[in-house]
Amino acid sequence: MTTRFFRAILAPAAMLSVAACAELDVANPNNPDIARALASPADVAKIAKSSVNTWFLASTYPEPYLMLQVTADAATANFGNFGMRFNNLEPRVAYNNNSAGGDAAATVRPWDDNFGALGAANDALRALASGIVIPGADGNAKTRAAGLFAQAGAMTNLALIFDRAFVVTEATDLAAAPSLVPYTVVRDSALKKWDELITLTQGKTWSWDGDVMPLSVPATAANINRIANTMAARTLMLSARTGTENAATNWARVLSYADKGITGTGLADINFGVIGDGVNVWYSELVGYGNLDNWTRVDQRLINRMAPNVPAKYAGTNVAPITTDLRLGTANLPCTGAGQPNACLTGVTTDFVYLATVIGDPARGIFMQSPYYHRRWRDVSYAVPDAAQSGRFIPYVIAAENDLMIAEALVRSNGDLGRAATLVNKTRVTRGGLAPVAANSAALLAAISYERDVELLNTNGLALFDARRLEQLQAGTFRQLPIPAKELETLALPIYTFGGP
Amino acid sequence: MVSAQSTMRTLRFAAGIVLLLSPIAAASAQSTVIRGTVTQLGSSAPIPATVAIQAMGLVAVASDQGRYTLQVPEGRARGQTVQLTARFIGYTPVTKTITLTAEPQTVNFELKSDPFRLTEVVTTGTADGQAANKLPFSVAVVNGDKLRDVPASSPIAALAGKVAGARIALGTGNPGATPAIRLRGSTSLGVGGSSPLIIVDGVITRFSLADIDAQDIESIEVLKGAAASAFYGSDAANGVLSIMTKRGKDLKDGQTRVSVRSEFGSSSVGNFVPLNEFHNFQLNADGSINQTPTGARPLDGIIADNVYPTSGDSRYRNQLKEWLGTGQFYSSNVQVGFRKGGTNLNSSFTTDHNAGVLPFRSGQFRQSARVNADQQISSKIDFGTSITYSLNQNDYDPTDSQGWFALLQAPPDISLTRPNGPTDPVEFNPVLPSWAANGRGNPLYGLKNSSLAVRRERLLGSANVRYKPTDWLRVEGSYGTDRSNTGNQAYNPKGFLNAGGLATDGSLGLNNGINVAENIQANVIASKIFFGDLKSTTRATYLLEKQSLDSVAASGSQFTVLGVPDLDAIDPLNNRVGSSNTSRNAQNYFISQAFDFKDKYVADFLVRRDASSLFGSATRWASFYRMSGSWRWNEDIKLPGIQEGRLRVSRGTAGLRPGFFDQYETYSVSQGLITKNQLGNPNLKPATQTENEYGLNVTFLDRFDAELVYADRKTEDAFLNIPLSLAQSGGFVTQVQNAATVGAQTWEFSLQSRLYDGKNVSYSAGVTGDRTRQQIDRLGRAPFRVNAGGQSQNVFFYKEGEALGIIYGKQWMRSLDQVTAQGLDVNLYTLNSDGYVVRKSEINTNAEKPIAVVTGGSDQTVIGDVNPDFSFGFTQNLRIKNLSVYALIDGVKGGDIYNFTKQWMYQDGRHGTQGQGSRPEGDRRPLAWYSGGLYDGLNANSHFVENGGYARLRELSVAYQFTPNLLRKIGISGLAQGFKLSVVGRNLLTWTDYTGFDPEATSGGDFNFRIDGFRYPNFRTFTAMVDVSF
Repeated sequence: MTTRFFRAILAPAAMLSVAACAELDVANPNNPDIARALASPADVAKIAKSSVNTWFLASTYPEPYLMLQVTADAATANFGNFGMRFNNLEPRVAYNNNSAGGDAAATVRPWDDNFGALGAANDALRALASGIVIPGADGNAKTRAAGLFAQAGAMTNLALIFDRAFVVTEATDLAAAPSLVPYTVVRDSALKKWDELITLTQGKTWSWDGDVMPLSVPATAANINRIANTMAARTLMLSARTGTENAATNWARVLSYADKGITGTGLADINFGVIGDGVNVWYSELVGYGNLDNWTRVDQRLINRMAPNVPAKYAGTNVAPITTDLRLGTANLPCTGAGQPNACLTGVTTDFVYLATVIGDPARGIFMQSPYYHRRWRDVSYAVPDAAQSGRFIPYVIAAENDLMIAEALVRSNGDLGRAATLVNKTRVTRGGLAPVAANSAALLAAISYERDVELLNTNGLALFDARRLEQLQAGTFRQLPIPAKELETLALPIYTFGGP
Repeated sequence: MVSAQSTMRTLRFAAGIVLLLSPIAAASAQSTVIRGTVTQLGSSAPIPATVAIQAMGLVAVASDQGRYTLQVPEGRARGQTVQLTARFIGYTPVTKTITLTAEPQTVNFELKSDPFRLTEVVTTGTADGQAANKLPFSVAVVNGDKLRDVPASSPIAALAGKVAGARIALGTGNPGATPAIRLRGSTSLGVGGSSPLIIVDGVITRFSLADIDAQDIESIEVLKGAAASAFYGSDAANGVLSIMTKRGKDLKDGQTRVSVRSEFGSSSVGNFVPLNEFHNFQLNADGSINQTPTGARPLDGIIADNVYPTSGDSRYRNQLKEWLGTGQFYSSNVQVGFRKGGTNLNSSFTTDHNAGVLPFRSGQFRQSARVNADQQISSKIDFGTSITYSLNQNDYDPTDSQGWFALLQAPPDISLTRPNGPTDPVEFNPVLPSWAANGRGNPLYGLKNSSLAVRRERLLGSANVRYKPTDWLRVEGSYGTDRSNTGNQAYNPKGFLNAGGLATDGSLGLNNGINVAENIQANVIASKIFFGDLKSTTRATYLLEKQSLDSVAASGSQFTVLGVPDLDAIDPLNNRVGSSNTSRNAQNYFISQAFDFKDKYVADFLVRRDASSLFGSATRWASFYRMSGSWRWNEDIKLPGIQEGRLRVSRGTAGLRPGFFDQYETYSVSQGLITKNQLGNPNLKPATQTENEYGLNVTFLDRFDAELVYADRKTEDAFLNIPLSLAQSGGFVTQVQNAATVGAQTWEFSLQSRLYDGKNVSYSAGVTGDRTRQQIDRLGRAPFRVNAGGQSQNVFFYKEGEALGIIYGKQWMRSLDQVTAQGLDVNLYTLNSDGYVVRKSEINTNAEKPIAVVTGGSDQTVIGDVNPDFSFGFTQNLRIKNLSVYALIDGVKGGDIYNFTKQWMYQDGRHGTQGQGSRPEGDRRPLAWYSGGLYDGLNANSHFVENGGYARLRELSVAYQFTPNLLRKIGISGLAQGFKLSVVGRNLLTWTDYTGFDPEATSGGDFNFRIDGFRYPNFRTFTAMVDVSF
């Protein structure tokens, strides 16, 4: 018996000696290996396509855009989320550039997300430059267009938001640490990339694959070209930090871009927006929260422009609007009680609605409250279940923005004022029911500013970009954001900020 | 290289061994007999000891009268010299050398009491077991008798207060949550990276310890750092907990023991967060709050000092006390032990339930069953196996905090049942009325209407064979496996209201995981005595580890039909899926050599080579070592009153392995999209801790056993998940690097005493204490803030040269001297009634705010340190005849907590500090002073740093033993062992200045992150327990 068991013991010992070497090179089957992906044409194409999604989400995230709309007195809220509360204080305080604190994400998010989009786009463009061939007709051109789109778009965002940034492209050697450059240089780099995209798509007949970006129009080279022109015009026009810089903007160049943009070409106008997929990968959180009645409201400064009887600052009394602008209306009051404001909004179709209720703690500042609500994009906001947003149009740059850019560029570059008036009236008269604007510069500039305030709220969060160049900001409001403290800590640079007395 | 086939063959062999487990009776034929008695030295009381000739595998157990009979099989007594040893728990074993002949002989033993169990053999981390009083490094042993009076929720919870140098805390009270444990100091800058390696009956466990029933524990051996744990190599820098479960080995031959224990009681919250009982809204003449037709509430001044109505629907309610109720708590355990001949086994079954304190959720239900069996197959071969199965079900995620945020901020003057008034059509309506300023929703709606089912099945199994071809050589093979199958279902039915009160079409999330860990080990152990006095033990071990984790998740929203929680009922456009599959392999070799000279001098050496697939491809192998020695100086230098004295020194290295994803240079892919996230690091090495440990053990006056230990450790190449500049990294967000060196110095002290041990009265007490200082000696990047994850703020700061665990933020000025020191005009400032410096121009206005100290141009400075001055535990056992009382008090002195819950509550005006109605009128501060000034936008500031010191009556048991005699007197017979009735309390009392729910707050299971952020608080339980044995 002992011998038998002795053998039995030897057997596992023998097994163990066979098992003496475990597999130590374990694969990671969960994520694509970088080297393998960059050698795979399909993967390179997907990296470029994905970077467009990263850019779009970064461009429509509540951080910083809800904060920027609030501090520009377009929207209002007193909740601490997204940096809305403390940058809505009056008098204005400096942006709290601290790597802790509730407002940190207001800069970290746009900084990191745009550099994330840039990083991925650069990888794809570098792979293309090194000779990878993407299968299918115009595979390389379509992929390059996607990479360029994200690259140019990310640089546009960085140029509009931050005082300084890094310019990193597919040609940048990351082994040598890049240096920070002022926003004007970032803007010019963005324009260069939009120009490359415009050249690449000029006269071409290919279309993007369906998984690049679910545009609300066919993703043809021609439409991409028009969107690129509009984006270039915005980049140039909105990057001005002051009235002086605004006056110095190359308006002829703005006009030249905008004229080839999503409107103004003589072709049918198009919107630049996406078809939502039910808050999966294509959605806009700016729209989602900006049109959510219990999160944000419309600043009465803007309402006052439409209904002068409403004070420009809320003082605790709800004032119903008296207005001729068809875009402002009143809910089926009262809107109080359970299940509201769904019931009181039934049948209401105006963009702006007087709800006669306010939200938030008045102790934080009554001026932060407002009984007015932006309803225009409610059906793609978090006021409806995520799934209900599926298949609906989500705005980013609507046709009116391009029309108003052309109009403003015409006025500021001594162009055709009659044409400018026609463009302004497209929304002013057709949607607003207001009297046509007179074809003189002063009237036009006022009407353009009005239309931009009313039409473009909660599309792409440009309110601060407009307000700073038109000198409409309250004293002490920052005109741009500092590099986030988290990044400055990483770079071992001193922390700084903007805004405040 | 191991092929799948060879692993299968190995597994099949292990299974074959199990089949051989037929009870083979111990060989019996004509035999020689050794007889005798075993009695206590001095008192001559009989001892039912085990008497054995270990080299021959012969064992006998003495009767209750202390008599034993050891049969030596025919032909095996050949005139050789053998060692006959008698041992019994609580006594020093005695070994006698006898000559085996065919003639019967009588050998009597007198055993000396060993109340501190110094001669008991410690097995963990040693070549082949070593008596506790000779160990050259620290191994804390917690025996089952210390765990018996108050059964713990898990093996880790069972250690609280009992082991010096071990910090244990329930960071959250979620039923089913595993407590956090840290042995000595931190070894990593990752969050939650301090968990030790946990071994159960030789199986390296990888999954939740919440499945191990603490009532099965025979003993726990704790290795606190590399000086001891080098034995476990690259996985053991955090120390090792080795848990041994009951095996029935202590039973007498032929004995079957059945014990049944039932406990039943309830849980409730002990300390509540103070809530604001005042407001600053205008009042109507009848004392109700004025509300305009549009639902607004005009303000009445800026100070919250108006009282709420005392009756009616809008009366004041303490919503915490209203909704945090008592929860059911029960546990039933049956143990059956058996021993006959060469067979012993112990099986157990436990069912328990911990409901917690939240409404509408039932908490955790757990069942576990265990069988341990050992079979001596021949005098040279024995076999052992252990199998545990458990099922753990919960309807509240043990890591979640659902409901707490909204409950802590719920307005006091609404009924959460009908928040919009008595006619509110929706019960627990998620939408609160518009005047409920900053309403955070209704915590009860989700708790009531959504459902969660968390389910985990666990199988722990092991089998081992030992073969002793000669009396000095042993060959062992073992296989162990830990398997965890998990499945969760989260379900919001169609019609579930979202936060805005809108009916959704519902959602369903399902995920399933299959997790398998296996280890195969082979040992060769040679132990021989040279030159009469030098015992040498050599062990060579090979260990193979394999682990795979597979999971699949699917979720969807928008049910097309009512009442079908099935993904097939979801609109196919709204389905989402994901999966993950990771595996880890390791193989390790080591050789350990121990010398024991004259029972006085012990030396121990170890070298180990580890390879792990988790190390970066550039460094697949790493080496570890240990050198240690001890000297029982009392054997050489006899001092009066000292029974035992030992000095010891040990130096060892042990490692930590990186996470699975850390080495791979990949993109991330999710929902079909490719993004850049974590940058892989192919150069990752194990983090390596080097620890030097010095210990002094003294047993004196026959009543006291003291230990003093100093351990100095340095963990080099510690892991740090470094935030990157995305511009410079090409878009990657973080990278795990061997970036840091973390140092820790620990003093540990413990004193056990048996002050009196009489027939009718006994009293014993124990004290443990430790002090740990830890710091970041090197940080491979600029200082930065870290976040513990979850509902918390990144108030912590990593900086080279600073302590690990500092809180960083604004220090508010508390004296006018600070104003002067900062060069400000002191005439413009004053102190307010809360003792803070404010501007005179702002005091008593909405703008009143504190002033931060600025140094070097920055208002950010160290405002707190989470590390306590020391931790302590104090146990007492008192027995008076049949009545026994056991109490454990533990706690920490000092150490700060960041009360983030309070800071957030300030925003909504809900915290008790903000209510001013009870203060003298002149002292009342504006609400905005709190909700704006001190709240400061959730920035870390000194106002929310609180002293986290506490002392806690963690365990209390008052028990009465009904003896058979006593039972007979009252007419009950048949219970040979009688029964015990006890009243048990856990966490009954806490003494602390901390104002949150509980000072044990930690985030992410990490003591470096003592931040309180809307977590399920610890609660107390109070139960009655009956123990019956047959």
